[in-house]
Amino acid sequence: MRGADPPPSSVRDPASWRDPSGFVYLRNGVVHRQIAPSYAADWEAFTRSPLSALLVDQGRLLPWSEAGPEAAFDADAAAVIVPDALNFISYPYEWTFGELRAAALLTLDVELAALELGFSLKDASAYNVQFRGVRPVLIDHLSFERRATETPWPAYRQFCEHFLAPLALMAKRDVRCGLLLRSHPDGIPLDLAVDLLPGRTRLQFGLATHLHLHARAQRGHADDGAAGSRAKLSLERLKALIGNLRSTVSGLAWEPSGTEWADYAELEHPSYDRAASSAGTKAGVVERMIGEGAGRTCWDLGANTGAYSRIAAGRGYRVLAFDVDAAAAERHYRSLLADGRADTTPLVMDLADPSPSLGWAERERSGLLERANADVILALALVHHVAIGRNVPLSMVFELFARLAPEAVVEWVPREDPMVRRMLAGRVDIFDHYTEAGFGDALAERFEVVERASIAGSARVLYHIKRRP
Amino acid sequence: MGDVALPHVFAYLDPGSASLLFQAILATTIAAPILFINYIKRGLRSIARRLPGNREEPGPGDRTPL
Repeated sequence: MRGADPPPSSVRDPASWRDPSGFVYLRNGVVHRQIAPSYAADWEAFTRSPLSALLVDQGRLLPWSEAGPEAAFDADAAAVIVPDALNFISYPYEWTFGELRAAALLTLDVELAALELGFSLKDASAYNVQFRGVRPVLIDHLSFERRATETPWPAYRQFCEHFLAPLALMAKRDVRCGLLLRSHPDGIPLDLAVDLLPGRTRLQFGLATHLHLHARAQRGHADDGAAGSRAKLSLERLKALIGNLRSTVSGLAWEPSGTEWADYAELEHPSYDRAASSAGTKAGVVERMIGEGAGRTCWDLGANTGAYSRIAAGRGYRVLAFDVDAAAAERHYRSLLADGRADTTPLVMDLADPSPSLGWAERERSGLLERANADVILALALVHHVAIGRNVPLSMVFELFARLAPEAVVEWVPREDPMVRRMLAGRVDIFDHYTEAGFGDALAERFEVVERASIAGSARVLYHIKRRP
Repeated sequence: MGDVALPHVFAYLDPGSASLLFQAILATTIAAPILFINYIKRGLRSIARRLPGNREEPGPGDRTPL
C-alpha cells in the first residue's frame, strides 16, 4: 500500500511507538491505526482466523473497520484500520481493584482463546485494555501473533508486573498500592512487589510461584539471556500456566468497606443511595438542572457510590464517576455490574492531585486535564472538602472546573452544615472567605449562574452554572 | 532443551530470560498432574474400547429408569 504524504490533519499519537508492528494516529480527529509491513502476515492471519470475529462478538476486542490506502499516515503502510471510538481513555492507576482484576482476567481469557486457535498475545500490557462502562475491552489489535511451536509466553513477565503484582498488593497489603502503577508505568518490579507483600503470601501457591519465586528467579538468572531463549513450552503446559494464573487472579479479593467514604452513604446519610427516588429534593433539582444528556458526557466529581451518577446516566449521559476513595469507587463499580449498566465508568481520582502526564517526554500517558471531555460536571458535596479539607481557594476551585467543562452543577454547603462543622472542629478556622457570597464571587470570575435553587429541608444550595465565553 | 526459532516480537518486548526459564519450569510443574490425569483417562478409554462388544460404561444420565 502506498499512501500520500501525511495531510496536515494527521497527527501521530505520541504514546504509540513501542511496538514496531504499527502505530496510532488521528486523521481528521478520528483514531486510525497503520499496520507496518513487518506485521502484515500476522495481521492477515489474524483477520482470516475465526479468532478475530469471535473476540469481537464476545465484546472482548474493540471492533474495527478497514480503511483505504488514502487514509494511510505515510508510505510505509501494509494496512490501515479504524477502531471504534472510545469516549475516554483511562489508565490502570485510575481503576478500581475490581476493574484492574477484570482487565487481568480479560487478558488471560483472550490469551486462552488465542492459544486454542494457534495465536498468542505478544504483550500483556494493562494499557492495552480500556473500559466501556464497566466492561473491559482489548484495544490493541496488533497484539496477536501466530504462535511458534513450543514457544513460551513472551508476555508472562509483563502480565505479572502489570496485573498480578499490583492486584496482590492491593488485596493483601493496601488497596492504595494500586497507585504504584503511577510511578511504575511499565509495571511494578517483582522484587519491589515481593518486598512489600506480607510474608503469608509465600504460603499461597499462586502468589508464591508467580511472584515470590519468579522474583527470585529474576535475581538469580538476570544475566542468563541465552538460556531463556532456549526455553520450550508445549501448548498443554502453557495453557495450564495461563489457567493457573487465571485462578490466582480470580482468587484475589478485597472487601471495599471501612473507609470513611465507602460507608458515607449508609452510615451518615441513609437516603444517599436512594437519591433518585427523592424527587423534588436534591436529586430532583440535579435531574432538572443537568437536562437531557443525549449521549453527551458528564463527569461526576466526588461521585462516592454513584447516587447522582445514576441520575445523570438516567438522563442519557455517558458518565465518568471520580472519587478519591477506592472503596467507594469499588462499591460503585460492583453496583453497576450487578445492575448490568454500561453507561458509567467509576475511576479513582484525587481531584487535588489528579493524574499527571507521564512516560517518555511526559507524553505517553496524558494527564487528567488533557483528557477533559466533559460537557457537564457534577460537583455535589465536594467544594467544602476541597476548600476546607485541602485549603484550596474557592477561585482556584472554579478555575479548575472551567478547565474541565463548559457547564456545571455545584453544591454550596454552608458553614452551619454538620459536615463543615465537623471538618472545622479541632482546627483554627482560617476560612474567612468560605461564605456563600465568597462562593458567588469566585464562581463569577469564570461562570455565570443559570439557576440557584435551595435544597428542601437543608441549608445547602445548588447552582447551575455555565462558563463565560 | 534444543534451540527454538524465536518470533520477531521478542525484539519488541523483552520477555526476561529468567522469566522464560522460570515459566517453562513452572508450567511443567503445574501441568504435570493435569497431563498425568489425562494420560490415565486416555489409557482407561483405550482399555474400554478393547473390551468385548466395544462398549463404554454409560453415564448416569444414560440409564433407563427401571
